[in-house]
Amino acid sequence: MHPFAKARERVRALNAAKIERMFAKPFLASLEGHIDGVNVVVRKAHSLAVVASASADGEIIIHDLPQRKHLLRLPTAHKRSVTGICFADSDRLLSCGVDQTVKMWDVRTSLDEDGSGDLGENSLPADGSKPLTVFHGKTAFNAIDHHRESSLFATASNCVHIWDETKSSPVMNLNFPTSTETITALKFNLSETSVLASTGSDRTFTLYDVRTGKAERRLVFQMRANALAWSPTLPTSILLASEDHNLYTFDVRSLTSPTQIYKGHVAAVMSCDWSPTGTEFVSGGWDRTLRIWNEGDGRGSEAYHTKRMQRVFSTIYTGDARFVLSGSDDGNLRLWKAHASEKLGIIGGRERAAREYRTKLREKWKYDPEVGKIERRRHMPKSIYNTSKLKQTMLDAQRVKEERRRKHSRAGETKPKAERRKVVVAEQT
Amino acid sequence: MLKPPNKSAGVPLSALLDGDSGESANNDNGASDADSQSDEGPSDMEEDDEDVLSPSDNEDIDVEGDALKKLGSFIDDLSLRKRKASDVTDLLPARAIKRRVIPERTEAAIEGEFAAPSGMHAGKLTLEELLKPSSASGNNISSVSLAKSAQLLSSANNQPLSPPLHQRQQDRVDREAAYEATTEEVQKWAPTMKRIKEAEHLSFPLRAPPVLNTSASELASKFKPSTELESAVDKLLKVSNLEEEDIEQTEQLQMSNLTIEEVAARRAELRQMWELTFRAEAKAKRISKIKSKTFRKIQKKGREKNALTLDQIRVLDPEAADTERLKLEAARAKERATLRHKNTGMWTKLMNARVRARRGLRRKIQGLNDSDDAPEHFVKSDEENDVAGLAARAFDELAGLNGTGQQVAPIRKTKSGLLEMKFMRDAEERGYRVADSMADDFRAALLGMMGDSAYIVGSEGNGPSALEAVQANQGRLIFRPTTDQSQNAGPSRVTPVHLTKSNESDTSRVTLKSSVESITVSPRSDLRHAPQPRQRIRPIENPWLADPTASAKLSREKNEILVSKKSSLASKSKAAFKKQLARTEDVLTREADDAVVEISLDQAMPIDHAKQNKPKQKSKQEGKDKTKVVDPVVDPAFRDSDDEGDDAEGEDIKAFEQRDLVALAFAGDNVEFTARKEREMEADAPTTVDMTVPGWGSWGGRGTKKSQPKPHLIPGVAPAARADAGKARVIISERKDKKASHYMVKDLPHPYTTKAQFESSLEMLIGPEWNTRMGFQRSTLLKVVKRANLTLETESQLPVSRRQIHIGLHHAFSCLDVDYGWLDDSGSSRHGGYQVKEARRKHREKQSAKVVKAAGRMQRTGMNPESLPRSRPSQVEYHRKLEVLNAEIRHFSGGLNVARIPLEVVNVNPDCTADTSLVLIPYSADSSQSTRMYYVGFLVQYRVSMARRKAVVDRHIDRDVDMAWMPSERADSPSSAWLFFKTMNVSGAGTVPAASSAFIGQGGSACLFQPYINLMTLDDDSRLSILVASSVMCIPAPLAISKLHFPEKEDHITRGNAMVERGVQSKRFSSGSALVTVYHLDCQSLAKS
Repeated sequence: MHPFAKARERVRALNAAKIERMFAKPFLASLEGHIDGVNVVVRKAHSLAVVASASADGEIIIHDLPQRKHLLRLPTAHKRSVTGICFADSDRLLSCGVDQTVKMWDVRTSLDEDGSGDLGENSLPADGSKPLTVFHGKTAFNAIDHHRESSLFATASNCVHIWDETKSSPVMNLNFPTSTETITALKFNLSETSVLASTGSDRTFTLYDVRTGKAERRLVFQMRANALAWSPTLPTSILLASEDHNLYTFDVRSLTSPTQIYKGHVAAVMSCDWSPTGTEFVSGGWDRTLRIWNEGDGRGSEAYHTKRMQRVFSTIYTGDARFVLSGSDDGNLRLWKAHASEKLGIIGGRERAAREYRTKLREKWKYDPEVGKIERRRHMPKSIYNTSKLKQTMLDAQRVKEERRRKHSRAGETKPKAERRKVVVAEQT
Repeated sequence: MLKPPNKSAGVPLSALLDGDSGESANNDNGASDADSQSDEGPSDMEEDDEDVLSPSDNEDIDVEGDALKKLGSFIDDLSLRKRKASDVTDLLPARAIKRRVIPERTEAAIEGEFAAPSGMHAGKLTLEELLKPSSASGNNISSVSLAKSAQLLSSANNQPLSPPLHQRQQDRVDREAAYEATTEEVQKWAPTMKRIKEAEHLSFPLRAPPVLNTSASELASKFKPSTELESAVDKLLKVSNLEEEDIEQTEQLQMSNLTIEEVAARRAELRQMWELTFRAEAKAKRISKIKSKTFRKIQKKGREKNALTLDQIRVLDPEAADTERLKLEAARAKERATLRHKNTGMWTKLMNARVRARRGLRRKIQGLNDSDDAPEHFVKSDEENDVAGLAARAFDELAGLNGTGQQVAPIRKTKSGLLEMKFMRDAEERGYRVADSMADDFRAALLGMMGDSAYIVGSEGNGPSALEAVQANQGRLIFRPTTDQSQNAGPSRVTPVHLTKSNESDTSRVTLKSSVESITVSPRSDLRHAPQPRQRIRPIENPWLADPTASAKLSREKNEILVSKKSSLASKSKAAFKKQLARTEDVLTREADDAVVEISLDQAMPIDHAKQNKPKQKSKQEGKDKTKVVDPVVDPAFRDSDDEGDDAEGEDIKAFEQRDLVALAFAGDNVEFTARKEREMEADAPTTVDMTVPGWGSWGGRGTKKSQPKPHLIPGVAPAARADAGKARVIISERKDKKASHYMVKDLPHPYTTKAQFESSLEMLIGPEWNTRMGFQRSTLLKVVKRANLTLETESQLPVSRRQIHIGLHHAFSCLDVDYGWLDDSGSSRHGGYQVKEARRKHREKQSAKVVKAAGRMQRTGMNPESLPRSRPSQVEYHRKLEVLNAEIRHFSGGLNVARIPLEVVNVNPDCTADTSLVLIPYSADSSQSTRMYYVGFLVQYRVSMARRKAVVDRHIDRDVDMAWMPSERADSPSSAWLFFKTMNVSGAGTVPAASSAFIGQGGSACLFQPYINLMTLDDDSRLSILVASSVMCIPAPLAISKLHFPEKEDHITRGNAMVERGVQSKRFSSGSALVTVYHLDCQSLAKS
């Protein structure tokens, strides 16, 4: 081997890191249309192009991503805010709102067979403005999710209602006894389809099973969780976006402590979604950033931000795991690359090989001080930078205080508690 | 008194049964109700008992009052007893008989299944009684289970059943159980999750698309000709009676023409051919394994012998002869260029020999005079190898001469006449003497030639002990006791003798006289040094480079120090004094000595000699026998000057001053080192720099405080903190290597547990320069690999097994022979790929023009011109057909496991048709039974133009056509040839050109085809048209067409087994022969599958 082989590779790694940063341009497009904050974004199963978004003014829009057009607009789908939407099948859309109704819409007419319909904004389908069915509830709904296989769907209000598409009233009420909270979010497991999880306003996380018809376990956290998502590849793993700026993954088989804490946001995390590969996930926060995380890596998150993007309420991955969508308070739906420096379009064999080589080099040499510095350093908006500094200061102060307390208390009386153990306050059976 | 059978068990049955029925809304109240009920239960029963027994109590009172009535009624009683024995229960006491109260009967019927017992007869209703009727009525399951649960109730220990759990508690228990059930359910995913977590590479979609194992028959049965082409083929089939329905009839018809004998004969012939092929193959296999070079040589010779000569080839094929000639010429030119056979000619050999001989002769003529300019190896060989032999021979000759001389002498004496006269004799004597002296000289010279081994040669007078070996090793000391013998022997003269040549003057001759005297010949003095004059003083510039003989000589003398052990103090002090004196003398004479550059060994010798004798004389004076060797080990070269003092006594000239030399050699080393270390320490030490500038910061006035000047400290390493602090002899640098620091980390990074692990991870380089192509690709494969343009709906389709995924992908690509490098090629439109394609297209057009001619020829020979494609269809037509084909491909892609790739054909631009070769193959599952024809659109060579891809992508951001990231790993992967075998049941001979035509140029397939011509069946012969056509069209479509005309009827020898030799020499075919390597396919297994 050449005596300078290693040195050469290091220089290549350094260049690779620099190139990666130079070409890191994640923002792709802003999809306009909403005139209020985008509360929720969902993707259509088996389609790369179609996503639906709903805003706080009660409007639902179905977008075509490649063409950046609206396939369907439902301006007054609900009175007041739409809190949740989901695709029932390829041709139906379910939406729920604070107006105590769940509505089922027929979106088939607007979509072609392959999901790439081309309809102008003005040429709305005739019956597009009318829902197929309206389900009435007694309280405002906060979230909705459809069962993967059957015609069941679940809504979150003061308790979890399980509905059948063909029936006008809920077929099942799932409730943890003695709970008087409001359910804020809920999701069906993607592989174990009967398993359901929800988060509540009482700082709780509850696990249900539709088959047994019971709330099976409930966790009480330090602070409440805003959103949750089941891992697509690891059926036992669930991701929670917490108000305490962190994200947590839990294994439902043992809920005593999270498997990993993801720290990075400097304000409450409002939404989260897994990549279809299950190796990454995206989160949107009150701090007006969007972060992309690697599963199992609690620190190194990629943060996306733009000047005009406000608080991010909803984030999703696209079906091919290449893009990320964020809906924010400013009423825009933004399209981002999941990997900031990824090249769109055709990549030839040589280029692909070179890219893969560079990726490997960066990975291998990330412990090199120079390479690592380039890899880690990110420019952040001033507000976020300052906030993170402030947060760090506060956390440090807290830690110092705790240490001092421990020092001045009787030996062995207070033991330092692992960070992971602090998360769950109580596990209720 | 009767007691209730289970008073303690307070729960009434009814309550229990109610509880079973599942009324569960009760909370605490419910439980307390149950308690109160259980409390009340027993009291009620007691009351009942009292009611039942009250009549008997009344009777007791009556007995005391009225005795007469007793007697009177006794008789009646007796009779009554008889009458009502059956009625009266045994429970009633005898006394109660007196005043019997007939219990009031409330039921119409007695107790039984439909009537409960009551009154006196009732007693306690037991569980068994309740269950009896149901068990009696039938042994159905409910009754059995009821009995079981009843058994639980009437358990032997008669423990009260515990009350049901509190609702909330019950719920909790249920929830826990449900949670456990769910946990168990999700636990089923554990192995899959483990696999995913541990996977080095994940390729999405995780679950391979379901493989549709559509059989040929299934496809055939479904098939209906829909397009023009298909219907055309269908028509063709119909005409030739090869439809499904007609095939049997056709076969029968054909078979009916043959007699049984004919069939048997054909079969036998076929069998024989099979056998022969098998044997040939076995033989070839065996021979190919032989490693013997001789065998190969013989084989090669045989081959060459059997090979056709150029003339023979010319007769057969003039063109081939021309090429052959060219080839030979080229080979010859190459041979000549390599100079390999430069000196192999007869004449050259002769001339070389002559030159060599002449050179030798010249050397001989020049003799020893110009031995210097002779080639070195000659001298060397003379010197080293033959010295001993030559010398021995020379001595022998001399001895012979002497012998003859002595023999001659008497003859001389007998001479008469003039020769007897004295002057004549004197002259003769003189002549002899001269000759003798010459012989002596020569002998001495010979001795000098003897090299390393020295001889002490005595004179002739000494007789046989003339040669005596003496140690001439330089550093060796000789220890000798001071014996009388040595004294008696007298001073032994050891003189180095420089022998002169015989042609020099007589005076140079040394005559060795005394018997004790010996000549020590300096070992290195050889013939080359010999011509030097005897007295010449050799200048020695560098003492270290002095002739070692000289030093050896000196050292030997020096080392001989003989001090008697018992020498007196006086003598010792004397010696010491002498030493001191010598030292002072030494000091005085040092400068003078140092100035002496030339060292005369000849002058030194006598001094040595004298010196050698001195201690001996001393010891003789003492009269001591024993001697003590002082300082025997130290080599004189490293001896101290103190010791040399002895030797220096009375010594005028010193050879060289050892100490000075050493000092000179290592001049300034010790001094330098400490100074250097100090300098280093100083440089590394932390320093303070005075940065004060006069006038600055020195404002005066009231209230001003003069701040202390802050020293500007430059950090460094304090001398005490240095790594070499306590070490006087080392300097350890404290400076840091900046470049090396790139490769250092502060702490061990997270996933690594040991330093070695981390280091080894960095050690392995991943670049393409340091790895093989495959190794590089493998090491740079990303963790997550996903097919573009694909929704990864992993949610419902978690993997079955990772291996399966890989296999699926592998199959998908290997079917198409897609290679990574190949892909590279396709994407190179920017790098001149377009030109190449254009050139190819033109070439193909030219070829197709030829085809027209060939078709004309074939028509004359009776071949069907339909079997050849005429010309390219118009673009519109082509496009239409392409669409149809694509539909077919799409349909088939599942069955053939070609995944989604053929779908891309839809996007193929009309302008890249040249790159997209579509094969139209009739599909027959098994020809021997039925010939179900079907078209399989098969893509052999698939390339998509970059421009088109880009256009697609512009419209849909995610329509990235991601072809094959995974290179085909196996060399023998089933490829197009496999498909031909599989789909058409063709012979290997037929397949080879067809399969390979995608890879090699036109006409190349003919060469591949050639070895199989004599193995062909009739069907194959008919396929000569393929040969021509495929070599022209470069696509296997003609094979398909020809297959329609000449369907397979019998087994081929080469079926499922076609071999293409790799050993094709021509460069032009090499790619084809490499790609279409060896297809050993078992036809049986293929037919089964």
